[in-house]
Amino acid sequence: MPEAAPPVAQSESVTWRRVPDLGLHLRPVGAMVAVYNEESGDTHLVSGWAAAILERLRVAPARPAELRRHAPPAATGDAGSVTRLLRDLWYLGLIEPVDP
Amino acid sequence: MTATLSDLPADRLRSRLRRGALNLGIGPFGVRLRSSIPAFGEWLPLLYGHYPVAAPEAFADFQIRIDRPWGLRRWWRPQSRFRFDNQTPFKPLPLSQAMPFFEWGLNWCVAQHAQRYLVVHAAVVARGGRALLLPGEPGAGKSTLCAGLVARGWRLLSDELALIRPDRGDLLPLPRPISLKNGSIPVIRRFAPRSEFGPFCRDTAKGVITHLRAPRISVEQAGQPARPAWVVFPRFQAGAELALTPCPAEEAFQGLIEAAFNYPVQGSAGFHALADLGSEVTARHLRYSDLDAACQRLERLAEETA
Repeated sequence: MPEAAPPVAQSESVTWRRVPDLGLHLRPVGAMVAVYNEESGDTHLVSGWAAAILERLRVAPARPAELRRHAPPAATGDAGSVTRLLRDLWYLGLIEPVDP
Repeated sequence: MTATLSDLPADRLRSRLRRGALNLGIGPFGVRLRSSIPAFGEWLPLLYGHYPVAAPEAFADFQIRIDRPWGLRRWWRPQSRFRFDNQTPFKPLPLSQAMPFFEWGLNWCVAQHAQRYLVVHAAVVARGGRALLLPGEPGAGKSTLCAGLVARGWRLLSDELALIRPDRGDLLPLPRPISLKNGSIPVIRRFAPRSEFGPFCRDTAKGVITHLRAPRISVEQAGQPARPAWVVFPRFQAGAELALTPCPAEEAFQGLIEAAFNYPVQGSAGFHALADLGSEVTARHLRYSDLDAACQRLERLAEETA
């Protein structure tokens, strides 16, 4: 992933949602979760926490702060981890900002 | 009782081959063969004598012709040509390589056209209905390992192409001659002195190559699928100490995707099939230089995880 993310990917005020109609399939595989995107044909391996965010954003859009409240204990000490995960999921084309 | 290629008298075999009326059952596929190259007709029974022969008019998945191109090359440095459904997908090879040309071409046919299966570049052997997949790039030592395990009594499912049925998650056998090259040939000759080989071809793009005849029992059991139980990523390294180390499931999953020829074509069915497989199997990395030690270690793994 590029180090310098566009402002939208770093903003706390952005509300995110899962890109609709991708046809995502999620399967736990070992310590990771495999994600298959029917629209692109791409397969990704993401952490369990990233997969949980994808599931959460499928149910309803959310801001980083809301997602952070459900972070696993290992991630709670790192305020930037959710932002980084959102940026990565955005780069993968799995989530998108909700227009204000 | 099914007729096999060796049941055909030599003159009828040659006649069927010349007319394109030889239908061989190779694993789940019907292969209609045509060739007027005399040496090809001689080699074929060596490697495929125990394969079932279907009626000339039976359905064939692949129609393959191994012939000689016309023109100057018919006489000067003669060549063989591989044709599939009247197309010529490859450049000709020397006439002496007609037999391996058929093997390589048939690999291509299966990898490109057998879309009802998830086709993974891996050798597969089985014991007691449980299959060991050995995915690997050329040179990783998978065929040598496969030949070694088969010599020790494992059932050969495939030397090169694992056929996974996405809806069932099992492996269909495609037992065919095992491709060996260069240094692996004397290793297998020493390891399994009673093995039967096809022609030895020198000066190929891969060096010296030959094919080891598939065991009769494996061919006869070609209709019996096996469940995936182990995935081992081999790496032959001359002089290396034997090392069998854990491979995390997600790494095995990723490795299988990379080794699958038609994963993009399979869509979500292929994804779920490999996710199931990745969760179902015991996965390991194997570094080896001594074939006997590697086979013994894999057999111990099979016993430990039975």
